[in-house]
Amino acid sequence: MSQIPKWIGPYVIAVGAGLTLVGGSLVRERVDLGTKPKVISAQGIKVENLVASRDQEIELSATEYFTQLVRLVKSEYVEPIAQDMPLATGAVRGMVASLGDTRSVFMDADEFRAFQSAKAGTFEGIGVELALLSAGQAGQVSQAALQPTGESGPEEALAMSAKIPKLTVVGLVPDGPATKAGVKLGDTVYAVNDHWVVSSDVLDEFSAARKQFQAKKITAFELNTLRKKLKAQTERALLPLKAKRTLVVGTNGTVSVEWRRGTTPLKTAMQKGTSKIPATANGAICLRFNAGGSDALKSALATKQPIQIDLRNNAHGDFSEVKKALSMVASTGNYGYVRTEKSSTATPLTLNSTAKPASIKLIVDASTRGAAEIFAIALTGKGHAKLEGGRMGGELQIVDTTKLPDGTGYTLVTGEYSLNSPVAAKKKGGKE
Amino acid sequence: MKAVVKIVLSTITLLSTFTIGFTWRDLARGERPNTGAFGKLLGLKGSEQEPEAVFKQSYNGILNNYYRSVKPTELRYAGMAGMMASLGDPHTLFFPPRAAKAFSDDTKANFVGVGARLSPDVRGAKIVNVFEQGPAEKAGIKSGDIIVAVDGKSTAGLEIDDIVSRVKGLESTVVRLSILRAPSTKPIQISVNRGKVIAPTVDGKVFPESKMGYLSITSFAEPTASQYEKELAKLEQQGIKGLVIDLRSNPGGILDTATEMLGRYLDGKLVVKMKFRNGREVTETTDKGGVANTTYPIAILMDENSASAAEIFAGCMHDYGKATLVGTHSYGKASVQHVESLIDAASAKITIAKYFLPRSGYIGRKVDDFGAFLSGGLEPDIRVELSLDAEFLGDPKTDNQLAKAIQFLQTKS
Repeated sequence: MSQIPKWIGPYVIAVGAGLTLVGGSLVRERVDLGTKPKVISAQGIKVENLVASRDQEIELSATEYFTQLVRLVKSEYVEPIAQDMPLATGAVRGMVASLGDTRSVFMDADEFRAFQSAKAGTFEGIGVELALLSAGQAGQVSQAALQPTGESGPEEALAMSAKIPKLTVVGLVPDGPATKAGVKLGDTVYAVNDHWVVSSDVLDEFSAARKQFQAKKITAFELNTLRKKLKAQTERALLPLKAKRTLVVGTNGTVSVEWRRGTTPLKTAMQKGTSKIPATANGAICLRFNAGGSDALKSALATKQPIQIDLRNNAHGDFSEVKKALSMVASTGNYGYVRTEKSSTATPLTLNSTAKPASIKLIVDASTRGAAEIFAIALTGKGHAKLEGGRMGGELQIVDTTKLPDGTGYTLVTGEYSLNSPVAAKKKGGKE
Repeated sequence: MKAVVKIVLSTITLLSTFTIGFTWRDLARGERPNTGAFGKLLGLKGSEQEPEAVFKQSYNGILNNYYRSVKPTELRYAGMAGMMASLGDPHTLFFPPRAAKAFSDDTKANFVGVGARLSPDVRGAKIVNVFEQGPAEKAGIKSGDIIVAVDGKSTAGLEIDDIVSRVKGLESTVVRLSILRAPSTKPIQISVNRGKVIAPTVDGKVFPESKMGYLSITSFAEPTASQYEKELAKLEQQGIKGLVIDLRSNPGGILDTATEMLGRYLDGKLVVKMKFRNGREVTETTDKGGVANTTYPIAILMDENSASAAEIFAGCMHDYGKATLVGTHSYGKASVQHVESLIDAASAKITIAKYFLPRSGYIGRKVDDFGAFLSGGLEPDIRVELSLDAEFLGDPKTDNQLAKAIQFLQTKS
C-alpha cells in the first residue's frame, strides 16, 4: 500500500465510476440485443441471415426467422420497444388468426381470464356463452373477419362479411343478466352499444333491395336511403370477436344489445356483473369440465346413486377433464374415436378404468356442446347413462387451451370426436 | 478499519454507477428499470419464458396439433405479420413474398407506356386523354380515337384492363394500334414507340358561374410541381377569384415535391421536422425567394384518403394561414417507413421516423386493435361529409364538398 500515494484514491474511484457508468450501459446494450453479436450491419444490429442480398441462401427455421425479425424491428422501429413478450404473443395471435377457424381463437389477458373462469362456471359480463355460428355449414372463414392484421382494418372484414358467421347465444347462466333480460338460446347479436356487428345481414338486405330496384319495384330514392343506412351502419361496425369480448369480459358498467330472434329484433340493456352456474340445481350436479371440475362428480359418487348431471349451459371444456370424469363412472373399454383431417385413421378413446358403471341421468339441451356433449355421447353411447332433455348442440370438436406468459391465451381445435368409427360415420353422410 | 470502510464505500459507488449505466436506457425514457435485463445479465432464465420459446412452442403446437393441415411457411408468415402488427402501427407491416412483390411494383410505378388514358368501349377502348409529349401524342393519336385492335388482334369485347396490358410493354418496343377516328369508318394503323411517360397529376379548370379555379392533384410525383405551376398559370390568366385545391384521395408521394410547391406560398419556412429513434432530427424547409403573389383566397379539399405528402402540403398551407381546409379529417400518416427486403423475398416495412408539422404538430393516425380509426389526421376548418348523392367529384352541382368550398371562398373574395 505504501507505494501508492493517498491522494490518488478519490481519482481512481472517480475514473472507476465513469468507466462503470459507461460500461454498464454497454453491457445493457449487449443484453438487450442478444449476447453474441457476430455480424453487425449498417444499422449496428445483427440480422445477418434475414436481410436479403447475401451471397448464400440460408434456410432459417421459423424461430430463427422470428428472432432475427424481432431484432430488425427493434433496431429500426421509431419507438424503443421495451418488452419482447408482446411481440411473441402478437405472433401467436397472427398464427392463430390465420387458421380462419371460429373455434381456434386468440384472447387478450382479460378475455382469457374470463374464458377460463366461465369454463369453471363463474361468468363475467352478461352471463352468456357465445359462439360464431354460420347459418349453413361452418367452413373456414376469412382471417380478416376475425382479426385483421393489415392496413385496411374493418373495411377488409366488411368486404368479407358475407362469410362472417353470426355471434350466437349457445349458453346462458340461469340467473345471469342476459337471462333476466329475456335473452334466449339461439338469439344472435345484431348490435352492441349501437355498433352494428359485422355480418352478412346488411349486405343481404342491400343486395335484395338492389334486385328490387333493377326489377323496378322500388325507386332510386328508396335504394339510396338504404345505401345511406348501410354506410352509417358500417362506419360504426364492430367485428364479431370484439363484440363478443364486450359482452363476456368485465363486471362493471352497462351494455345495450340489439338481438335478432330469427328476424325479430329484441333490444336489451344489461348491467354487467358476476354470475354463476350453481354447483347443483334441482338435485343435479352441474358438472364443469375445467381442470379439477370432475372432483364434484367424485364426491357425488361417494354419497348416493343414481346421480343426475346437468350438462346444460356447458359450451366450453377441456377434453382431458372429460376423460377424467369418464374414468370415474365408466368401465374399461372403447368410448369412441378422435379423428383429424390430417389423417385417415382415428385414435380410439380407450379407458382403463377400475370404476364400476354408475347409474346416471344426464340433462342436456342445445347448450350442451363440446366437452360436455362428448361426455354425454360417450357415456350414453355405451349404455352407461340415460339422456333427458332436447337435442344437443352438435359441436364435437376437441379444443385445447394454451395460456401464454403474459396472461393472453388461445384455443386450438385438435380433433373431432365421434362415437362410431369414422369410416362408418363417413358412410352416413359426412361431418357434423 | 478505515481501509475496509473505504473498500466497501468504493465498491458501493462502483456498483451504483454500473447500475445507473445499466438502467440508463430505461431511466432516459422515464421508465422503471427493466428487472428482466438484470436476470439476463446474471444468466438467470427467471420465471419468465423467453419470447423465442413462446413463439416456438405455439408454432410447433399449431403445426403438430391443429386438426387440419397447416402449411409451415404460411403459418410462419402469419406469425411475422402478427408480431409486426402487435406494435399497433398500421404502417409497420410484414409482407410475405407475393405481397412484397406487389408492394414493390406499386411503389416503383411503371412509367413506361404509350401515354394515354383509356376507357371502355364496345369496340375496344376509347382514348379519353393523351398525355402531353408522350409517345401516343408524338405518333399522332388524338383523344376520342377508338382502339379496335392491338398488334393486329381485335379488341372487341375485351375487358379494359386486358386491353391496357396489351398496349403496355417494355421501353423502346413498338405497338401497332388500329384506330377508328370519326367520321371515317375504316381503321387507320398507327405504330407507337413505347417509352417513358409522364402521367398528368394536376388537372385544372375554372367554373364560369363563380369564376373559381379548381386544381385536382392526384399524387405528389416528380413532375407534379411543374405541372402545378403550369395549370395554375392557366387559371390565373383567366382571372380567378378563388382557388380550390382538391387533395381528396391523394395518397401523397414525394416530400420534395410538396416542399417545392409550398415554396410558392412560404418563404424559407419550416415544412416538417422528422424525428428518428436515436434522437436525430431532420428538418425540411421551403426555399427562399420563390414566393409568388397570390391575390385570391384558397381552400383545400381533403378526406380520409388524403395522406402523407398531401397532408404535409395541406397542413403547412393551413398552419401558415394560407388556406382553409374543407372536407373531413385526413388519414393521419405522420411517419416515414423503410422497407427491408428479406432473404426469402418477403419484406418488412418499418416506421423509422415520425414527422411534425409547423403548428399542427404530430398528426399520426391511431387505430384500435381491429384497425378502426380512433384519432389523428388534420382536422378540417370546415367539416363537410361527402354526400352519398355525389356522383361526380369536381362538379359543384353534384359534389357538395366542392360546393361548400366555393361558397366559403365567395364570402372571402
